[in-house]
Amino acid sequence: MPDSALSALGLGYSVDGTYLVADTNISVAAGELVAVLGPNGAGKSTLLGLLAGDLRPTTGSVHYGDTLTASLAVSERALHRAVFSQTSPFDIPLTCTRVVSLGRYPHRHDQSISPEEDAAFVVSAMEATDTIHLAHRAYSSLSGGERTRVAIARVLAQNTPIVLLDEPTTALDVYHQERVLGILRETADGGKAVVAVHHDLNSAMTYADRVVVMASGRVVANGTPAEVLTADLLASVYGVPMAVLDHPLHTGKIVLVSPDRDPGSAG
Amino acid sequence: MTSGTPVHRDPFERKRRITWVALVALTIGVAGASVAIGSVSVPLGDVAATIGAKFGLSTSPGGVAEAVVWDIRIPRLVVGFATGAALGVVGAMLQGVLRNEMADPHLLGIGPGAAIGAALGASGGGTRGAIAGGVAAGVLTAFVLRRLARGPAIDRTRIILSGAALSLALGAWVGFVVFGSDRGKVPPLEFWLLGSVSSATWSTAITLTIFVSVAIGGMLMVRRTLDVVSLGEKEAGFLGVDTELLTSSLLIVAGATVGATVGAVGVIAFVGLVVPLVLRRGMGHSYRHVLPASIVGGGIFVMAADLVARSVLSPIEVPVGLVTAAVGGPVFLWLIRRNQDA
Repeated sequence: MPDSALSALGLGYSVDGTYLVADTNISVAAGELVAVLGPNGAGKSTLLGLLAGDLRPTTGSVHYGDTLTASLAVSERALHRAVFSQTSPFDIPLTCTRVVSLGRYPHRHDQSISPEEDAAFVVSAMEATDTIHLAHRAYSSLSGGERTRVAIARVLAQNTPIVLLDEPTTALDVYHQERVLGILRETADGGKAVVAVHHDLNSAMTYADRVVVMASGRVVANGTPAEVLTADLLASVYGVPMAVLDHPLHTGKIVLVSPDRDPGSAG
Repeated sequence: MTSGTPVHRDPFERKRRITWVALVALTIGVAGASVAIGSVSVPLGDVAATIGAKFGLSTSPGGVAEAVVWDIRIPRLVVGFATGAALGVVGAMLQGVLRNEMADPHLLGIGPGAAIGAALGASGGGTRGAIAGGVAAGVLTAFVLRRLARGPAIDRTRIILSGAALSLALGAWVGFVVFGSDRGKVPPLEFWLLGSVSSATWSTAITLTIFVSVAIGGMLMVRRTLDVVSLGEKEAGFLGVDTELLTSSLLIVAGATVGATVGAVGVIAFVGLVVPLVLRRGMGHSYRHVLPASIVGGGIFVMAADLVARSVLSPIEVPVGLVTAAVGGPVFLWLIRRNQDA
C-alpha cells in the first residue's frame, strides 16, 4: 500500500452519545481524488470536519502523512490542509482578491516564499476558478456561485498537500460545475490528496479515482466508481431505485434515478 | 477576455492615496489651529518660533505666547492626539475581532470600567496613579466582557447589548467611587464620564504617548489576521488562526490601552466607533489599511473635538466627550439604519 497523505483510523464522533460518524477507516494517497457520497445525514460533513481537524474525534485518530493531527497547532494544520466549507458568512466586505490572498496567510512566516510567488499563487488560483474579473468586487456583493468559486480560489491559493471540500459544486451552474471538477482533477493530478463531499453521483463517476459511500455514519462502500456505484448499492443507500447505464458518448457509466412508477412513494 | 488586467491594481488604491493626503493635511491644519486659537490668540509665526526655539532653530518669542503654546496647548494637543489614536485603533481592532462594526471600547463598557480603577488610582497617586488604575481596571473589564462573549460563536447582538448594560452599570459605579473620595484629589464625575484634555501636562503627554505607541505597534501586527477573522470563525480556524486565543489577547490589549487613556483624560465616547466607520469609505474594508489610518483619524477627531469643546461656548470649556458624542451619536444611528436596510 502506498504511503497515504491522509489517513483516518477507527474514526468516530459522537454528540450526546449518538455517533454521527463511527468506525471509519479512510486513507487517501497523494495524487488521488476521492469523492464522499451518501444521503443527507450520512455523516459526510462531520467526516470532513474530523479530517480537517475542526472536530475532535471521540474515537480513533487522523494523520496527515506521518503526523498525528491532534499533535498539530491550529497554525500548523493550515500548512497541511485547506478546507472549503459551506459555513463562510455572506457579508464579508473584503474584495475578492483580498479574500483569495488570505489563502496565503498560513505561509506568512515562510521566508523562502517571495511576495511575487505569493501573488502568483493568488493569480493562478483566480484564473483557474474564472474569478479574475471579480478581483475588485466586494465578496458580499457576489452571487452564490461566484462566492463559491472565490472561496475555492482561496483554498487553491493555500497550496496545501491535502484539500478537503464540502459540496464544492452545489451552488454552481453546469459550466462552472464542470470547471470546478476539472480543477479538482488537476489539483489531484498535481500530487495533492483531494477529498470532496458530493451530491452529484455522475460527477463522482466521471472525475473521482475512488468513491467512499457513507450511510448512517459508516462507510458502506469504498472503491473505484465502477466497483462501487452499482444500481443495488445506490438503491439501498439512497432508498430510491437507480439505473446504472453505459455512457452513450464515451467509456464510463451514468446513473439515472428511476423510480418504479410513482415518484411520490420513494424514500 | 481579462488578459492584461493585473489583479493587483485596486481601484481603491487612488482613493486610499487621497484619503492619506487628506489625513495628513487635516492633522497639520487642526494641530496648527489648536495651537493658535484660544483665549489668548497666538500668531502662527510665534507658534512656529516657539517650537523652533526648542530645537535651536529660531529664537523664542518668549513671554505669554511661549508659555501658552509650549506649556499648555502643545501637551494638550499631544494628549488629545495620543488618546484619539489609541481609541481609533482599539475601535477598529475590536470591530475586526468581534466581527461587528458597532463595537466601541466605551459602549462595550471598557471605558467606564477603567474609569472606576482610574478614579481609585487618582485618589492615591495623581495622574500616574490614575493611568495605572485605569489600565488595571480596563483589563479586568475586558475579562468580564470576554466571559459575556464566550460561546461557540460570538453572538453579535448579545455582546453589544451586554456591553451597553455593562457600560451603564459601571458608569454608575464611577459615580459612587468619585462621590466617596477626597474631592481635592479626585477629578469630578464629569471628567471621568465625559472626558477632558484641559489639564494635560508634558508628563502626562510623554507617559501616555509611550504607552499608546507600544500598544498600537502591537495591534498593527495583527491587521492581516483581522482580515482572516472577517472570513468567519470557522474559516479563520482553517487558515490557522486560533480565534479564542486571539479574541482574549486582543480584548486584554484593548482594556490596557483604553484604560491608560481613561486614566489620563477620562472616557471620550464614540471615537472608536466613528473613526473606523468613516475611514472605511476611503480606505476600503481591509484592516491592513483601516488600522493604520485609524491612528491618524482618531488623533484628528479628538484634537478637533477639543478645539470645538473650548471654542463653542468660549470662555466656558465644555467636556470633549460632549462634542464626540454629539457627532458620534447620529453616526451610530445612521449605521444601525444602514445595517437594517442592507
